[in-house]
Amino acid sequence: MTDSKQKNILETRDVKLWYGQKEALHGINLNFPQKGITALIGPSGSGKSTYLRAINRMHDLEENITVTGSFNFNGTDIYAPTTDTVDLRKRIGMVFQQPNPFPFSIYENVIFGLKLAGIKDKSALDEAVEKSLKQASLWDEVKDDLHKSALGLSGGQQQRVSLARVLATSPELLLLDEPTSALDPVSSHNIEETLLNLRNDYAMIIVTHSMSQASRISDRTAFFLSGNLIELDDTKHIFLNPQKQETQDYVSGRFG
Amino acid sequence: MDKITQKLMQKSESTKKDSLGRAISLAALSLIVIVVISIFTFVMSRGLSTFFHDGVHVKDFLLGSTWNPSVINPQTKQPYIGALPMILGSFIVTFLAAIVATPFAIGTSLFMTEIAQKRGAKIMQPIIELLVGIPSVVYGVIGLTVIVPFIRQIFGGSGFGILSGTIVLFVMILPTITSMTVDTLKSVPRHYRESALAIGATRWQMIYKVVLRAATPGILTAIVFGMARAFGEALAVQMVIGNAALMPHDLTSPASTLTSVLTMGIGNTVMGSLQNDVLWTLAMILLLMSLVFNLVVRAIGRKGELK
Repeated sequence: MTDSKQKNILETRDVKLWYGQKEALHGINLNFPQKGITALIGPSGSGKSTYLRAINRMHDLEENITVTGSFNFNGTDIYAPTTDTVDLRKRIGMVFQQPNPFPFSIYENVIFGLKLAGIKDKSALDEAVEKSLKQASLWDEVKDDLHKSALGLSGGQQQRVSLARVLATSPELLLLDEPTSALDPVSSHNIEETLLNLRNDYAMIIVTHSMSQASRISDRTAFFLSGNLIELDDTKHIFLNPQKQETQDYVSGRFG
Repeated sequence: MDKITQKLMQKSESTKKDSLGRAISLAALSLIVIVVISIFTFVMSRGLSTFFHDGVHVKDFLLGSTWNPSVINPQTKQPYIGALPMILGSFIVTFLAAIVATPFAIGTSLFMTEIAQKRGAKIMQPIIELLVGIPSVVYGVIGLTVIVPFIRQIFGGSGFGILSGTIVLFVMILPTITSMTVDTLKSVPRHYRESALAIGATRWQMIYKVVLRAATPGILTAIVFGMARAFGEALAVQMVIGNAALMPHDLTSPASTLTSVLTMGIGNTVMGSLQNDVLWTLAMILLLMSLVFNLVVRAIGRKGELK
């Protein structure tokens, strides 16, 4: 646990969320350091994805969802009325469960965020495409096909295009919502390798159903159950020596 | 052969029902195919007899600009059967109506799918469906009593003409294009929208750069469908366009379309006469054009799939 020594990129306190009248998160306190991977694990319906989507205000798209609590993201209050969600989402990248490149070419996909930011210089864009695709470990596979449709790629490659698209905008924080659950084991492995290569440069929060994935790639693991944060610790402590009985039961496969 | 073997060798009850169902579907399909082929054969045989039986030149028909089949041209000893005014009239009203209707249709559908989904579904959807269901004669009457006098007041002249026809057709094809565009926009996967927003797009950027772009083949299909409807519409156009088979030279003087000349003339000619045959030729052009519209729609659809 190195939280206390370094400044946190994101500090959330007493996060509660309601779907209509139903309270789905019951007050989550979680802090995330400037670098490294934090995994959120827990059974389906435990609120881990819900919590993740609250961070970049994706819940704004739905009606009937209320979020309370404080979110301090590098000094920005995420839910302050004056916060510009567009700007916020530029700073917090997100990769979804389904690989979701746009129906454009690979190149256009990767530069999508940059174009939104108003960057038009061709050489800067070319450079960003190469850099992001390299970061996403996809460059060698697609460098000759940059102008072909991204939808022609395999699922794993599409997911890495989605990742490169986000990385191109240099976000401060990367949210990954079960990024490998729709992929085959080989593609999952590639994505994991990619994330491991990025862990020193980015703060990442990954929601995953796979406990083995959490144990392989994350520095810290948070265990969610029924809308509560049960335990947060270094990954090896969570898996080898958890403090709470529920965590022990879950990681040893006794329920969930 | 003992009983069990016999039973196993026989077709079961469900298998019989299955083949019965298949036979009924096949019969229905064959009927439709026969009807389509018959219509095509009939229209084509009547339409082509203008050229083969009555000896009219295709060029004179398609490019001639004078239409008066009951009068013989003293020079060529042929009736005046230049169909160019109607062909042009049809294309002009169709394209103008499509050009005017498309921005409104896209705007309306974006409002319904992206901006006010709830109100869109509750208020706009029934209105659009209602508009689709209004008989064309009603549009024609409104065109005749409202639009034609309005045009007359503003531009002078009779008020009949391509402009009136365009306005009526615009209202008629607007719901067609809108409802198909709405379906297309709804079928754009939700995750395109989410990931566009998640990367920092504003709502308009998301709509403009992702949703509309992903929906382009579908929207084009919707426009072509609208054009096919406009091209084939007879009654409402006939009521407001003035039905003068003259070369259209401006938007507010009377003109005519293939359909309006066809519906006006077909009851007043004798089957088998040249005057009747040329009307069939107009029908043939309409049929071929609807075929073309269909092929265009298919081509767009195929291109959309490949993406």
